[in-house]
Amino acid sequence: MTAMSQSPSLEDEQVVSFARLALDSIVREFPNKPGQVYTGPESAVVPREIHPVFYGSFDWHSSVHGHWMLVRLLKTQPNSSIEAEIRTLLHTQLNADALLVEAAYFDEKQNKGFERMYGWAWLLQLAHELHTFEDDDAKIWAAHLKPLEDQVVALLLGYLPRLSHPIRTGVHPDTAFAFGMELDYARAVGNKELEQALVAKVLSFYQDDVNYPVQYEPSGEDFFSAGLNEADLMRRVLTQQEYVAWLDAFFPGLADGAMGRVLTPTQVSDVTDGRLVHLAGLNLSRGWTLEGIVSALPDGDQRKDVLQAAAIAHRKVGLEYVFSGHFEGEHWLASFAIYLVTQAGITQG
Amino acid sequence: MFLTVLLFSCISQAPTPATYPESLTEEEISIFTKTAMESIVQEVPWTEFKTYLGEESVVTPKELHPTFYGCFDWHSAVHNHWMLVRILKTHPGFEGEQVVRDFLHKQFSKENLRTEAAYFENLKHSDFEEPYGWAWVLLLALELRTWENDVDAKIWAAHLHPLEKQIVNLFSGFVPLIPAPERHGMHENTAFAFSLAWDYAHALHLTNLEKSISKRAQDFFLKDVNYPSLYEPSGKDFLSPGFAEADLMRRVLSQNDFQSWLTSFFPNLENGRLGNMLTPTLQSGAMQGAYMHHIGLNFSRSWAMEGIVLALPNEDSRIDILLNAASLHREAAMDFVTTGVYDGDHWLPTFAVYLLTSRGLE
Repeated sequence: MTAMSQSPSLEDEQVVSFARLALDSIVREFPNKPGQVYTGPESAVVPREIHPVFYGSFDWHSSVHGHWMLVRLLKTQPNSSIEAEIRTLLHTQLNADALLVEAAYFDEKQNKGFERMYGWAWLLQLAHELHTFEDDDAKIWAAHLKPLEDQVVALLLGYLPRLSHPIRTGVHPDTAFAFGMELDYARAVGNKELEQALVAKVLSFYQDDVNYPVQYEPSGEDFFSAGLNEADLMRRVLTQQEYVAWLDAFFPGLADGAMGRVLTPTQVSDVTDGRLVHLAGLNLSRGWTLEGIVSALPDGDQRKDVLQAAAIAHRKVGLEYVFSGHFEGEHWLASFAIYLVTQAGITQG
Repeated sequence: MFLTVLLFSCISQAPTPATYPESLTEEEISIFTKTAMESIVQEVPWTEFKTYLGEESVVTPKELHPTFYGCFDWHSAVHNHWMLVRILKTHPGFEGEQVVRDFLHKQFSKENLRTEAAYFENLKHSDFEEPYGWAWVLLLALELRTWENDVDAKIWAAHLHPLEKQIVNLFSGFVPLIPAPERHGMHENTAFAFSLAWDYAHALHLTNLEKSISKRAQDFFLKDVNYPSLYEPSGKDFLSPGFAEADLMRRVLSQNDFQSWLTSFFPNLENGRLGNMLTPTLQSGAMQGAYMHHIGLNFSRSWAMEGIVLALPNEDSRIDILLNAASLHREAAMDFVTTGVYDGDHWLPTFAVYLLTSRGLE
């Protein structure tokens, strides 16, 4: 039911400035927060030794989605003036041997929960982007990534039956966000087993939710709206008719714009604070989830205007924070911006 | 109602050591202290929350944190130390007391605790363990500084002081800065950290910090109504955001104000309806990692419910409902307090001791 439209094209200058943020961050090793489990003196090494590909961008998941963003730009904005530079970096980064080390990292018992499920979701988004890119380089990179991709898929399939409750939060562990990307991946690559496991889990967690407590959002460090993530996820698993009814029950005030502060963009008090700057990302992710919901509603649904207006407002405020000059935001916000402006959650492929 | 009487009696008489009830059995004391002393010196596995600033950050946890390097992570190391102090303080004369004291003498050496404090001097580390680990440091300091007539405690408190001072400064800066509370049920939960810090500030007469927390608590939570109890718990929660909030508000509001706030916040509580929040969360999955969080959730719900009860007038009809649920949660949690699995053993006994010794009710 989603609109399979082309991604909007960007000005060359925009492509260059977005790409530049990722090109710089990906090879910047410090500061870095590996969040690793230390198991002895062998763990006391620089991040690059443990993660020869995704050692930059402050943390593993940000590096993964920085790579994804570069692939996404190559794919949706062909022939940009920075294309050659992006390809050169990705050839160096997405190297077969280095990616084998990244894959092997998850073999260790203490690493099996590493980056679960936020980093996993972005990794699958990267794989998804490569698999659906008709491009000679992309085919090579996809092949190099395959061992890590397989590792993550296996971990995910092992994790889903053990996950007893949804995790509802506006930060990394939010399950609705991860499920959305994982489902997009499973469908794009035709992994029926994963798709079915995800759909069953999603329905059991969220189908009966009503009267979402919009007035309790946002939390101070949110970069997601847990409520909008959920609504953006449910459009992926329900028919249009079911979805219209589900959304009525979930956000009963939506048609009247009675959504607490969820439809109003949030300002950031300090862009140099790594956690407070999360709210900049909140604007961008609200933007794409609002657009996702719109894409699933039938023409004439009166909620579309409310959602569309809010999406535009969020996009505007969110994009203002992307180029702050501070690494706290710049190591990740560009990916969020590109996910939004290239409509990665709506246009498949 | 016996429990209520007990709760009130400990409030009125604390903190003179002689008045602490025997809330732990000898067996529990033995298991909990042994588990804590083993975990505290267990260097691996350890989860790093630190930010690497460069090659110079490549050091072992023990070099960086010579006191709090064990227990899987820094905050658990802090609260396991707190637990040992708490047991010493509330259960004087137990078998093995001297072993625990000797152990703590070593752990709380002046030099080691100076190194712990120095870590926070680098501004780039200043969000390390914010606010959860900070809150436990304050509770540890509170426990030591309110322990009358104990020579060891005085020494340890003095050694802890540089770290305590760092954390008080950081916490005082943090409270006015946050734009909105963190409402999930994990480490960053604002209400929980505020409660521990408020207890610290209140007992030690840090009026500015106490007022600042009280003000922000009201800014954030006073207008909350109809708490969405059906949306709890999340899969990784070890705190109930709803109960943690109520347990904070009972600290900062007068009894009258709290009573009516609670009625708006949990409007159906008097009818025994509070979503899933009055029923312990049981785990059928493997006993590891995030699954342990729900055992901790049962503990923390239980102490929050007791805290709410403490703040209600005797005739309030919600007391029986809450105490009944608190007791169910305590029993469910105690079944799994130690399982021999490090994922839980490195922190759950602390939660048990916080609950069983009524720490939050003082």
